[in-house]
Formats: sequence, structure tokens, C-alpha cells
Amino acid sequence: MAQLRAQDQKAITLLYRNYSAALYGVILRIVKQEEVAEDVLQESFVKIWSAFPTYDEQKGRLFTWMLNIARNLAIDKIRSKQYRVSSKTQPMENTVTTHMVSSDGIKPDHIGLQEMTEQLNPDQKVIIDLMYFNGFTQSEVAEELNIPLGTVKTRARMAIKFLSKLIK
Amino acid sequence: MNIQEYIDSGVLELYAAGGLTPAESAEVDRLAAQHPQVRMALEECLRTMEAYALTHAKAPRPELEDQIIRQMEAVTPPRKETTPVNGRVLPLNPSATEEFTERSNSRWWQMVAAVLLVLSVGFNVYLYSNLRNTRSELALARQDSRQYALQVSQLEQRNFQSESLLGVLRNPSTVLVQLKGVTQHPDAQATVFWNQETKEVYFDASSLPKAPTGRQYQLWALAQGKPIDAGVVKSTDSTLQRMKAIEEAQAFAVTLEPEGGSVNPTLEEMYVMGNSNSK
Repeated sequence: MAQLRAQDQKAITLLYRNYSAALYGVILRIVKQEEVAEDVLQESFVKIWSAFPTYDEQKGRLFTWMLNIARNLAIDKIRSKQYRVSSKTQPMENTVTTHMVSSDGIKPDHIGLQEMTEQLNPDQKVIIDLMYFNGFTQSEVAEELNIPLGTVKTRARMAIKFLSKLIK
Repeated sequence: MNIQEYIDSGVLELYAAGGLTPAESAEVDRLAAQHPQVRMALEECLRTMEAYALTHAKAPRPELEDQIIRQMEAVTPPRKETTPVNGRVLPLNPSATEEFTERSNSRWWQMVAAVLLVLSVGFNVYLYSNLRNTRSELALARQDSRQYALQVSQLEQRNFQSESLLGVLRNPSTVLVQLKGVTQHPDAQATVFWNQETKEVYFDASSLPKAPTGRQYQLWALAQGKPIDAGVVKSTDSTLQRMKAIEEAQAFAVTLEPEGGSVNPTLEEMYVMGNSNSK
């Protein structure tokens, strides 16, 4: 059993070392406050580790699965009452306008790629960001931006096509 | 349903970006399971969003590592098989079943241990390969972006150079002086662009042989029979180099000099020369 525990420790350390920066960056982008982001990061790793048996390799990519757990917890956080009260002192925090502005004070470790994604058309970027970082559904995005649902789809597609070319 | 139309509709991108309701997502999952084409397109979208997420990566405070790892270790080991059986059945006759339970217990534990070991090793291998993939994807993305940035700056530089070259060439007061190889170096060639109004001199060394290490080409203007230093040539690539301004010259010449240039030209090491047809 001691050996197994050591194996677990290795796996945990491996998981943490390799995914903490990726998850933390996304969480911070969502919740904006470092203290909150640290809490959510911890929650995410605990959840990832304890939900590991339910992860189905056939059903999806591990990194996507982990990102989704972290994103969902972070989005739940910003939607919780407590968080709304505590961030009332910072109005405009999660409005569309802040998303139109590309720099949000988060310094990425990979400046090159980050800069490249800034080439993304702002009209397209805001759609991806609202869904990915604010947890909006397509119809919520359409409503928020006052554009037809079809446009949301087209722009999301163009945005990801563009990003996909960048990373290739 | 037309699969290509479905892929082109943008629904897979919405899925990857998280913009679908659970019911809509389940529909995408179902179709992806049915059609390899859909699955591949979806994977591509997911990979792209992973890379996009990575562009936001930021290392958390190092102090967090220990704390979070301890928290993870405290939760039940993530294996279905280890879930403890609830509601233990009490033996009716403890003494009779004791030995049996003990033995089967230890055998049960051995089995569990073996299963756990296999799972754990498998998990490690899986994690490791995943980690390697992620790392190489990240490295590739970084390399790409670096290359891209480099290309842009090179293009900008080249563009700037050709623009300034064009500016010099278009200027009506610029004379072009072709420097031809002397007897010892018949193939050498160079060009001087001399603006006789501003006195600016640009030098194109592209047809000079590469200077040996420790030596540099030096451009001279010959005025009234005297050589005037017009500066050393920094490189012999296709770039147009700005030299020292020259007031008066009947000819230009290039010699090979020790690095840093000389006060007087080493005439035996002259490579090219040309008359400037000065007015």
C-alpha cells in the first residue's frame, strides 16, 4: 500500500506541476481576483483527482476535461451570491466592454501566442470569451450582444478556425 | 443529415468554447460517436481551445503547490475499486468464520493491491504520454510563434531596407557608381549610391566575396588623388549600408583591411574601383 501511495503522490505531483499554470491562468481570467482564483484552483485539483475514475478517455481529451472542471467551478464562483457581493466594489468586472479590451491585467507566460491571439477579430473573440470565460450559452451571447443566433455560430466558427491556423 | 453541413454549421466550435446547453452538447457527443468525420473536426476544435486556454497560462504562487497536493492526497484515492463496502455483514458465528474471513480478506486485499498497482501504473503511463503530448504541443506552439515573430521582424526590416533603398535610388541627385573588380579580383563587384546634394553615401556589397575573419572591407573616396575614408563595410549581405558622407570624389574604391579599418588604404588589397563621373 505504501508503494501505491507513493505512486499516487507521483501522479498528483505530476498533475499539479503540469497543469496548474494552465488551469490557474484560465481560472484567474474568469474570477479576476487572485485569492479567489487560488481557492478555485485548489477546489479544481481536488475535484479532478477525486473524479478521476469517472474520466473516460474514449469520451474526450484529458486536458479538455480538466479545463472544463476548472472553468465550471470558476464560473459557478462568479455566479454565486457571495462573490457578487464581494466584487460589487469593482463594477464593470464582467461586462462585455471589459472583454472588448484585450488587456485585462493578466500577464501570460506565453506572450508570443497571447499576442497572436490578439489578432483575432474582436467581434469574434468576444463571442469565444463570453462562452469560455463567462459561461454564456450561445443564446445568452446572442442576447447580450444583440445579434442573431446564426451570427454567433458563424463568428465562433471563424474565430476557432483562425486560432487553429495560428497554433499550427 | 448532411455531415459536412453539420460540421460547417459552427456547432462544434460552440461545443468547444462551452456555449452549448448540456442537451445540445449531448447531441454533439452522440453524433461524434457515430461519425468519425465529426469526431475529428470536434477534436480539432477542442485542441484549439486547449491552446487558447494555454495562452492565458500563469503559474500560481509556488507556496500553493504543497498545500494543494496535500489536499489532493487527503481525498479518497481515485479508484472505483477501493470504494469501501458499506453495511458490513456481521458473522453469526464469529469463531467459525474468523479464519476464513481472514484468509479471504487477505486474498481480497492482494487482489485489490494488484488491481490498484496495474491501474496506477497505467494511469502514470497515460499521464506521462499526455504530458509529453501537451509539452510538445506547447513547445511547437511556442516555436511557431517565435518563428512567426522573427519572420515578421525580418520582413519589416527587409521592407524598411528596400524602402530606404528606393528612396535613395529615386532621388534625382543620387548617382550610381558601379565599382568593378580589379585585375586580381575580376568577379568582385559593388555599387555606391552617392547623393551629391546631401553627400550621403550608401554601399551595396552584395557581389563582394565574404571578408575573411579578422578583416573588413573599407570604402574609400578618391578626391584630388587622395583617399578619404568612407567607413568600413559591416557585412556583405544584400543590405544597403549607409557610409560616411563624402563631399567630393572622382572615384570610389574598396580595399580589404584589418578589422576596424585603416587610416590609409592598403592598395595591394584593392578589390573594386569605379569612377563617379562627378560633375
